[in-house]
Amino acid sequence: MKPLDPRLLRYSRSSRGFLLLSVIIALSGAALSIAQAYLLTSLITELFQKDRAIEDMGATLRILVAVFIGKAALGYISNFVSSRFSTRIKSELREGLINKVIGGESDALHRLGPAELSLLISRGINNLDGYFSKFIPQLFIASIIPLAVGIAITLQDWKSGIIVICTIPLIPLFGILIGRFTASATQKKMETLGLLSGYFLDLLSGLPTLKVYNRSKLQTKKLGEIGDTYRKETMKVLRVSFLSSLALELVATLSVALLAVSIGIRLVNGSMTLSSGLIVLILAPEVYWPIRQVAAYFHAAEDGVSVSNQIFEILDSESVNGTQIVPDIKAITWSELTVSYPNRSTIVIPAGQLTTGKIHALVGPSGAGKSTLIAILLGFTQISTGEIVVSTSSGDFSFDQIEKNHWRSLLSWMPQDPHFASTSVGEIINHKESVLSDVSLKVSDLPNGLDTHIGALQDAISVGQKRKLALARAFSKPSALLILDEPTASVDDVSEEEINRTLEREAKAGRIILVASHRPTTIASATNTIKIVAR
Amino acid sequence: MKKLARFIRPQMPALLQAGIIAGISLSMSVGLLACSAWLISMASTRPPILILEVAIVAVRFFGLGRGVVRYFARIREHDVALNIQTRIRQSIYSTMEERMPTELIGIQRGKILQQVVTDSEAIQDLWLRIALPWVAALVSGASGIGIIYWLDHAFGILAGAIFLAAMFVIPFVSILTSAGSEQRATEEELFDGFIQACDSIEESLVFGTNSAVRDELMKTQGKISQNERKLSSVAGIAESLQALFAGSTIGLAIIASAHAYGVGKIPGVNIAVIVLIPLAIYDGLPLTFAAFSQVTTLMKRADSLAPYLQQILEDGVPNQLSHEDVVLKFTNLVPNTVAGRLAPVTAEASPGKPLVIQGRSGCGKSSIINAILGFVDYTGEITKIDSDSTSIMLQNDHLFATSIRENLKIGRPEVSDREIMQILEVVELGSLIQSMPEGLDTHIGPYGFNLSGGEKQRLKLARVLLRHTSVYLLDEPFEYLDVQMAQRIALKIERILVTKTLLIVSHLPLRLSEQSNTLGLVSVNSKP
Repeated sequence: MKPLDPRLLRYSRSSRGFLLLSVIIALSGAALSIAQAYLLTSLITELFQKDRAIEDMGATLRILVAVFIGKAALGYISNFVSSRFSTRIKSELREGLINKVIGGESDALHRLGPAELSLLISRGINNLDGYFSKFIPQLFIASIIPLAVGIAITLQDWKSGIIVICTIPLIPLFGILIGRFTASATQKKMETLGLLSGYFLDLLSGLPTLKVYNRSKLQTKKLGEIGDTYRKETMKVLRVSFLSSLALELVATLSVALLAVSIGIRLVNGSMTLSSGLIVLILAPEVYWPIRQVAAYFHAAEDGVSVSNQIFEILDSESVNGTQIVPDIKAITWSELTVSYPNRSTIVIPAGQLTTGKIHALVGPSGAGKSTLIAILLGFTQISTGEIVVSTSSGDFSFDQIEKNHWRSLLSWMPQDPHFASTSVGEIINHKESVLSDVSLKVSDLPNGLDTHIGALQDAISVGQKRKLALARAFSKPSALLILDEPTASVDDVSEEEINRTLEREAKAGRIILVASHRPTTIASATNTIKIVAR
Repeated sequence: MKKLARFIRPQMPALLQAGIIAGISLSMSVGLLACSAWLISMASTRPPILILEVAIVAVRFFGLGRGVVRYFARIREHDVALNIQTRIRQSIYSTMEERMPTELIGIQRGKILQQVVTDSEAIQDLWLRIALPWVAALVSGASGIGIIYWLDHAFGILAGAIFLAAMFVIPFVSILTSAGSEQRATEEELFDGFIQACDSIEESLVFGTNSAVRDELMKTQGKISQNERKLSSVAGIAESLQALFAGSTIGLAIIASAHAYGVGKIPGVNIAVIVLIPLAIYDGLPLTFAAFSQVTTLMKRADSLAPYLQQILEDGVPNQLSHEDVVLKFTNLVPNTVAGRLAPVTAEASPGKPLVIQGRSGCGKSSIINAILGFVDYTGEITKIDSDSTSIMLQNDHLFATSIRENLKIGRPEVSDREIMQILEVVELGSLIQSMPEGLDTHIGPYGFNLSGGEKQRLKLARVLLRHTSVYLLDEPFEYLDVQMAQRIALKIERILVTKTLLIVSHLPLRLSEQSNTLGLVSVNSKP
């Protein structure tokens, strides 16, 4: 785990100032701790060894009070600074993510899925809170205070200094050694916990199914058994992974004990003064606690780091986009294209051509690559090999070089699984009521006619009606290229005829129409067939 | 919150025990500093070394014991926490299990389910990071104050009062200042907006609506930041309060011990002990108090979880499946969900005479199935069917993230591999599954093999066919399949279920044997 990702500085302008302020705060903290140790020691030794009355030490006492107030103020300031900066950094990262994802410049949506991505951007980013406002400042404190305090101890008593210098490196060293030893164990614990949580969610998601199968009553006991098994497994792992914190605490407290005993013996010998001894004793825990505190925040940091890794991966991902603007589309011609997805066999699309005024049927078994070709033409998927040429009234363009946002303004599309913005049917079809009859969708079938609100009430219309509406939306956008993915699936024969008539009319009007379909009549109505075979 | 408290009451003794063990380990830090202070002060008077021997042993003991006891405290804490987690899961499950399938499908669609699962995990912090550390701090504080009291009664009482005040005032302030209720609401807003945007991102790019979506999301994100800025101005109050409580106790300790020493109430070696103990007590507190800023959020989560926390119900035993012949008949049926849009329907399915309900999208096909199952209200008459004699395939049936075999066995656990393979042939999945290296043991779902939409659909179909009952209700069983395959599979199903009562709802034009009936649904207000 990288505790501080350099990409943070790149993506968040605010982070530099934050890191600088964290250093200043840590330095002030060190100064106050050392001052407190000196003042307390001076008061104790004056009282005890020199038998001075407390009334004579008003000045020292006042300075001590000032140090306490300083500590309180620093506590407020450091929290304020870190939480303010955490807010700003989070906000910068959120905006970056929204721009990147909504702008269609990242494949994160496909990799993570909408639910996970939304969770990341809303609540997931809050995992950075602990990371920015606790872990990072503590990281600076842990590297500055032990050093400063160590120097102060060495100045008082070099022998104690040696003990401190010898034991400080033991903490990170033990941490790393045991960390490495327990890393796989921790990983295993996280995995089992994740698995258990996933299992539980899966079980709840499938509850309606279990219920209709009359098997839902058997699971409570099983949940208990599985929970028990996992608990035992996890505890085995935890017994090992807690060893690391045990080692850290042992080093810290044993060192203090070691120092105290050695100081005590040297005091008896007379080779040391009480004030040096007390200063070392008061300061000694200050050497160790910041490092231990880092370990305590480690959990928060781990969440934060994994979230920031996810975020930076998305922000880092480069979209491949061209710059050329095409005025119109006369034809699209491609050589054999391949698209490789991880963990899946490569999809091969044979060479083909789309020309104006024709209906091109895209056929082939499911999974062969029909949707892939459509995604390529929409500019959502990159091809691995092959070439696509777009012919226009001002010459031929290579598809790679075309600016895709402008390209998409030239085409219209009906996806297989349509979604609509939360608005009325009228709004969705650009108030072109005629397109509804083109797709055989009757206004009277919609609960509130053209004012039927989609989105808020996704259930107001049926699946089939939704598909027809998506088709109507595709027709309603003036476009040179019309891409339709299964326009006649889940549609009855009468509607299919109506839709096929519309397709013919639109093709005659000079549009390029590409239709992916399983339906024989739709395929038959096409003038050209593009066949993709599964390999 | 009360409900949660009642729910975890059986685990309370174990939790308290873990807190006290953690407290003992913290007390050892206090003991370490107190003994060391005494040791050093005493040593400076150059006594015979024997007098120091006990202190030296004590210092070493505390130095060693702190970490070891903490280790056992941690283990105890996590064991209890995992136990509670399991009980909460069981309770959520058995509460949800009580509900109607339609109600459950409503829950599945929203993000309630995800929410319930994450809430049930998050509220663990209420005891692991808040209650237990507080108990531990109280125990260690009490032991430190106890030593002070033993040395100097009067100051012991004063220090104890200040400490108790700190233990209650600081968490209270921390909770009060961190009440970020608006925060969560806007976060939900962003989540909802974003998830909707994600679903339709490609479409919004094609139809040019994405900049409006972006503006909307940016506005919500701005609101979140604004709220957070408000919170940051109070974030440090708890920590500075803690520093003030610590400072005033130490300051008073100096004055009190000076006076006590002056009047001869305490020996000089005890001054350092009395002054340094508060340092040790307050040292570990900031972490404990910082966690209290989460209390409001966690309590809200606990409240939203409360409806799912109840007594865990005992598992029942599923009834035997029934094979008796059933005639499924409905007369003048109009489900209320499509009232006014669907003409009353009358039809019948009986053993050997399957019924296919067909119609255009949105005409109420699925509503008829739901009415038969009693999930929705209706007018007209329906033969009562018994759930033990009926197998149902619903539109959003779930495949579990486990092996193909486990998924298929849900219908009938005693089914043999031979039967499974026969049915897989019927749905034309036999060769695919045989080609998989692990065959029926192949895991499916997010962490396993990725089946296509059509393959999943056919697997669900196989599962329902493997269940031996007298009635089969199949709602859109051939979704995602092409007409030819649907037609082939439908005929095979009719053949193997020839002695059963079969009802298929489909938008595809299916042609079954001559014995079958087809009911075409027509909307009332659609004109021929």
